[in-house]
Amino acid sequence: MMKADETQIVFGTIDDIDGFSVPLIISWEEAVALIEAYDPSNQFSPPAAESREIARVFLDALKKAMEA
Amino acid sequence: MPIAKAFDPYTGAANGGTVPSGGSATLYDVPYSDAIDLTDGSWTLVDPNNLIKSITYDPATKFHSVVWNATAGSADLNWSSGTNHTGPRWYQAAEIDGTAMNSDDITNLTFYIHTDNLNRGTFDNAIAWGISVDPTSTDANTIAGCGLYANAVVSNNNTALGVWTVNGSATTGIGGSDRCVTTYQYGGQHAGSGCFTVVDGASGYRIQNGSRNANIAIPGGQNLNWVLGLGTRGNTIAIQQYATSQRFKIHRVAVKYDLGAILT
Repeated sequence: MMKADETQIVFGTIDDIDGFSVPLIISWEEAVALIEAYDPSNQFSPPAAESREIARVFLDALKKAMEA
Repeated sequence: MPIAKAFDPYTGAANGGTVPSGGSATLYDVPYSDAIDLTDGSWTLVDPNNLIKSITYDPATKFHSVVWNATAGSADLNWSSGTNHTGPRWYQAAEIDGTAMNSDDITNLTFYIHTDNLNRGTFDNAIAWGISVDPTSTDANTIAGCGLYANAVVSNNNTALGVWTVNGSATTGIGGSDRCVTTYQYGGQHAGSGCFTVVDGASGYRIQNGSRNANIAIPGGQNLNWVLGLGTRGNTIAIQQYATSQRFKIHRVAVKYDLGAILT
């Protein structure tokens, strides 16, 4: 299961970029499954549903941080 | 009845109940170093591109002022980016009570900076204030510099302050910020991790805080050096002839605990 470490979201300057740092946590098993299924040379990889799931974890955390 | 001090907490030497030699008599309210004067003759300037026109130290305010020679923008002048660092840097052997600090030992280093937000320089600039394995190198991993990082955008009114990790940084600038305490745990043959607190100048209370990990191993058996590097905040910032960077005042303190005594 992937989740954002919401207590560790930082707004600041990271390597000269002003913005948010959002740490994500993923289990070993899920990381292995994702990487095994991911083909960087295929423009359709990863599947849209999988991409959306990851993006939503990030965006939900970012939204909460920005609205806090 | 007062408690007799058996050991100097800094040197480990027996004190026999007398006043300790060197350092503080207690680990509470340990004093920082005196304000550091980079012009006092004990610091060596390495300036690969001859960018420092002059540096002056005001003994009254303890602030340094730096005037630059012109150069085009380069990522190599950004201490928070890339694999090469060619920015000017001053260095000095790092010692605790006359004993050289070594890359094998885990040491706890606390850096302090006070920047002058009214004299922020004429280009977006940065200050890296920390510890280093080889400050004479231009290879970021060989320098292995870590500690406190400060950067100033000319058009802002605060200094972004935080932690420097080899070729990265995490800083925050808010509410006129101009003072920062960064504590860095370095050594054990690794560049370690640091955390920082941006502090209010009047109260000493926290304004913001943060942290960052370094991710490189460092060679064993190396004597360490204090390093103060100056550069640009960004990879494309050109510097005009007679440009100035932000004025700054710095302190430090270092502790090495006797880890060996409790390992077994």
